[in-house]
Formats: sequence, structure tokens, C-alpha cells
Amino acid sequence: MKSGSSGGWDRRLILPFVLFVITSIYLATALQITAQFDEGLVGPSFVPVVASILMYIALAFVVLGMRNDTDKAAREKLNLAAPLKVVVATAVYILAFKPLGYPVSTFLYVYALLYIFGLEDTGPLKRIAYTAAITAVFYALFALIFQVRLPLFDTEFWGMF
Amino acid sequence: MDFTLHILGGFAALADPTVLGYMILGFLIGTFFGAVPGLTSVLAIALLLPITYSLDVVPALVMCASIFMSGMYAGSITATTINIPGAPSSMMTSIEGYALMKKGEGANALGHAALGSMIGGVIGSLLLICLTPVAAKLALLIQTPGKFSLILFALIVIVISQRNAIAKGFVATLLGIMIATIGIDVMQPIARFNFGTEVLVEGIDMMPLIIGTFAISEILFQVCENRNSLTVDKKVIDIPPIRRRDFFPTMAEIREIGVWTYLKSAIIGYFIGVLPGAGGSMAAFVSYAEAMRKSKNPDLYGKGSREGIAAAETANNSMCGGAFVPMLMFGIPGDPTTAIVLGVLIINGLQPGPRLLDTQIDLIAPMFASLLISALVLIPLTLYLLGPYFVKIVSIRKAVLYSCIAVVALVGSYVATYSPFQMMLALVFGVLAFFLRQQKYPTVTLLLGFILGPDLEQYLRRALSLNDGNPLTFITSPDSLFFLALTAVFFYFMVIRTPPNAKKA
Repeated sequence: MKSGSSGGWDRRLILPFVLFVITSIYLATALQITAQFDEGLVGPSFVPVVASILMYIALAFVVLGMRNDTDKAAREKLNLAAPLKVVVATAVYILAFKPLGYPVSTFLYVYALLYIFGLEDTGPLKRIAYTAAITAVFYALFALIFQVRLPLFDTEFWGMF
Repeated sequence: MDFTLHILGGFAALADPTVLGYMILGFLIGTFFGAVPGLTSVLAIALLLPITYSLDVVPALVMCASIFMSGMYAGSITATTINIPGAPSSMMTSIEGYALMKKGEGANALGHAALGSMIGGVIGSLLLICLTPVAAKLALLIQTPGKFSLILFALIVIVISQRNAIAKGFVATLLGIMIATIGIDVMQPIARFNFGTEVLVEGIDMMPLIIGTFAISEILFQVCENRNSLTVDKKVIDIPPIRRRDFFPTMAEIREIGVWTYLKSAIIGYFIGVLPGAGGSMAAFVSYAEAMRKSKNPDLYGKGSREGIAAAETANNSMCGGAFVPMLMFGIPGDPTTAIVLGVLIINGLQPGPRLLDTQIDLIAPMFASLLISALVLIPLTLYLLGPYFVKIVSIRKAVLYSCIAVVALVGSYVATYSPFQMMLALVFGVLAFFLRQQKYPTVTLLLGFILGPDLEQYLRRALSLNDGNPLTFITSPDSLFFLALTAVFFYFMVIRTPPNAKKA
């Protein structure tokens, strides 16, 4: 455990622990389901309860299996800075998608992604050109070819301010 | 006779310029995604899924079939030329193909890979067309308890085929089943696990789950491994030019491989495709191992065996036909690609099952035709036209590629309901799948658990309701007993009797 631990805590245990918590919330909710009519043992909560119990057992096997796990890559410390930046950029993009509209929000999102992915050997002008091209190509694909109504600019939203 | 006429009608449908255009476009997209290391045909079809809302069902299914066939073949291109399999199913091809490449016979290796893929794809498609009506008749014999046991069999086989990640496979499958229980109950009009919100009452749509699991997680994964700015390093692609005339395998080489090797590999690939969760990698591996076992020149294996390339490529393309059988007849996908094709069917209101051939064969037949034509015509044609340039085409800037994928994935999620909520769900599932993949949990089983979970629950509860809650119905019903016994047999051979070294493989 020492090689993969950080402060005495093996980081591989985090995911099983999170799944354990999710399963516990799920099981507690499943036990509160009230059936509209009696189906006997196998009502609406039967499969969720069985799935929860099986999940606990499977998680126990996963944790026990870690003792024999020789995969060093799984123990290495993971640098989450770049994925976190992508997640934040994506979340902001989703929130801004309707208020700002497709052209502006997508342009900013693609520019951010090109930056995060480290588009090398390119100056800001070339990066803007790439960004504009990607935004335009997919606007053409969705809005013109597949006739999808993409949001342009939510005037009602901005009118509130 | 009616079935034959409908199949011929399917070929006629491909003569429509729009449908033909979508088939060729799908083939080129599949070839690109199959050849670029890190991208797969699964991702290509996942990105296509939202677009199918705007397409007619025939072009959408035709496109899916051609992506599937080309994605399976295209992995052999980079596997042979630069020793990086574009798709996992081309692992065996890279061993033999790259050895030939180093000897200056790379074009010949590519030719053998294309020939094997073409033969395998054609035989697999023909077997699909011929055996689907038989499978439909058999499917009609299965009653409710049997349907439950069949889905249980499929889920267990999918999990135990994960080899050294069986427990993690179970966790991912159960997670998929749990996500699928969100929303209206399968038997009663009550909402489950909506946590007081309205948006969860209708349940989780398949699309954000697919987009999140296969597209968003891939972007997060790639940004972690962003050591090179190009998908294929410039130094690697600096290879001698490939000439078109060298693509053609000689008759002597084909005779040496033997018709039986092609035929046997195609049959192995097809039946592995029928098995739930097995996929192209297993088809290629089993067929390659069998060809080596029976080979007159086993010493050549690992040093550039054309027979090895032929066996692996024939099997993985033949698998495409086999994988459609359980998906179309039982709604049980044979591999991740057909799992997403199942999503396309459902989005377009087609219900898999034995009645599909009676009621909607006119929509399904063009898809069968597309599989066959993609294998027979487009594989050799693409190699001939684009073969010399492929290595250059697949070397592109990662930043541009994954930015494009991100836009298609997220805007695609929006398309289904015109709601940013679907986009947010895709992001949530993407983050979840990223951590699962990072810890080597198989995300394919998550998707299959999500797809098969509701049917599993429905058939279990219906079977018990019809039999006064008596669980013995699963043993007294012959079809159910057959699938339970089959599950036990598979479990015995794949888990209990597996030698320790195979478990570590």
C-alpha cells in the first residue's frame, strides 16, 4: 500500500468508497419505494435492493483484489489538473450555451480547449482561425445540413439585466 | 421467399444516391476513426447517435453498418505500417503486419489484411442474412422466464469475459442497472429515484450516457496523456512510400494460406460475434491462435505470417455479422458498437425482437446490404485509393481533433431534447466513466447493464407474477433451464477452469 498511498490512504480506494456511498443512498431510497399494487416479493424495490446488495459484494471483491494487484499505473498519482480544466470549461460552456448562443459560446469553448490541449507552434491568430473554422464547420453541419435549431443569442435572458 | 425479396430490396435501396452517399460517408468516417490510434468505431457511432434524430432510419442504419465494418478493418492500416493498432481488434495484425513492413513488404501485408477483411465481412454478412430468419423462429419459442434467463446469461457472459477485471465488470454492470432504474417503474406507474425532481421522472436517456461514456471520457483521458501534439508522431510516420501495385496478394500466397483458413476464421469470427460481449478482439485472437495451431509454418508466426494476418482480419470482420444477430432478435448487443446501433433502432421506434423481420424488414434489409457492400466493394476500393496516404491522414493535431469531438458530442446531446440538461448529464457520465476507465473498470459493461437492466427486471417480475411468485418457474421452464445451464457451463469454462496464466492475460 505504501507505494500507492498518499498520507496513508490508497487512492485506488476512493472510487469504491464513492460507489459505496452512492449505493447506500440508492438502497435507502429503494427501501422507501411504495408500490401502487401488491406484486408479492418482487415489487418496484426488489431489483434495486438486490442490485445494491450485489454491488456491496462486488465492491468487497474489488477492494480485496487490490492486495494482489500488481498494476503500478493504477497506483501512480494522477495529475487531474488538465481534465479538471476541461470539465470546468465544459460546464461553463453548457451553462452559457443558451444565453450566449451557439456561435459565441462554442467559439470561446473551442478556444479554451485548444489552449488546454496545448496547441503548439501556433500564434494567437492561427489559434483564432482554427477556433473560427471549427465553430463554423459544426454550425454548418448541425444547423444547415441537419436542420437543427441551434440557439443564437437569448435576448430575453440578456433583457433581464 | 418474402424475406429474400426484402433483402434484394435492401440492395436496391442502396442505389438511392442519398443512401449510397451516407454509406460511403459512414465508411470513410469509420475508416478514419478505426485507423487513428485512440479513436474507435464505437466513438464514431456514439457521435453519430444524436445526428440520427435528424436522419431517416434507413440512411442512419446503413451508415452505422458501414462505420462498423470499416472501423473493424481500418485498425489494420496503422497496425501494419507503424505498429500501432488503430483498434484493439488489430493487435494480432500488428504482430505479423509490422514484421512484414520491416522486411519492406508492408503493402503486401495491407493487401492481405484487406483481402481477409473483405472475405470475412462478406461471409459474416451472408451468414447474418441466411441465419437471421432461423434465429427469429428460435426466438419466438422463448417465453418470459426464458427471456429473463437469456438476459441474465448475456450479462454474466459479458462480465466474465472481462478476464482479470470480473469484479470490476460486475460493479460497472450493476451501476448501469442502477442508473436504468431511475424514472418510471417498468411495471407500475410510479417514479423511482427521482429525488423529488421532475427532470428525473422520465428516467435517464441512453444518449447522454453513451456520449458521456465514450466521447467525453475519451477527451478527459486524452488530455491526461497529451504527451504528443499529434495523434501519430511525425518520426513514426516517416516510412518508405507504399506503391499501389504492391497491394495485390499473389495467387501463390493465397493458396498457401488456403481457402479453409479463410472459411474457418470467418465461421469462428461470426459465432464469437453472436456471443454477448466477446467482440472483435476475441474473434481475432481465437482465430489467430487456431490458425497458428494448424499451420504448416508455425515458425513464421511473429516474424511476418500472412496466414496470421488473414486469420485475424477475416475473423474480426466476420464478427460484425454475428454481433447483429442477438441485437436484432433479442435486443442483446453482441459488442459495444451494436449496443449503440441498438440505441439508433430504439430512437427510431424500432423494437428488436423476432417480429422485427415480419414488420420492419424493409428498414433492416438495407443495413444488411450495407454490411455486405462495405466489405465486398468499399474495403478494397478504399485501400487502393487511399492506402498510400493513410499514414499521413491519421497524423493530425490532437487539440483540433478532440475539440471537434467535444463540440459534436455536446451539441449532439443538446439535439435530442433541445435541453442543456442532456449536455450536463453527458458531462456527469463522462466524468464517471473517466474515473472508471482510469481504474480499469470496463465501461462497456456499464452501457450493457443500462440497456439490458430494464428488460431483466421486467421479465423477472412478469415471470414471477404469472407464476404466483414461484421462482421454480425458471427451472421448470425448459427454455429458461437451457439458458441457466448455459450460464453455468460458460462460468465453469471461463472462470473456474481457466488456468491461472490465462486469468492474468
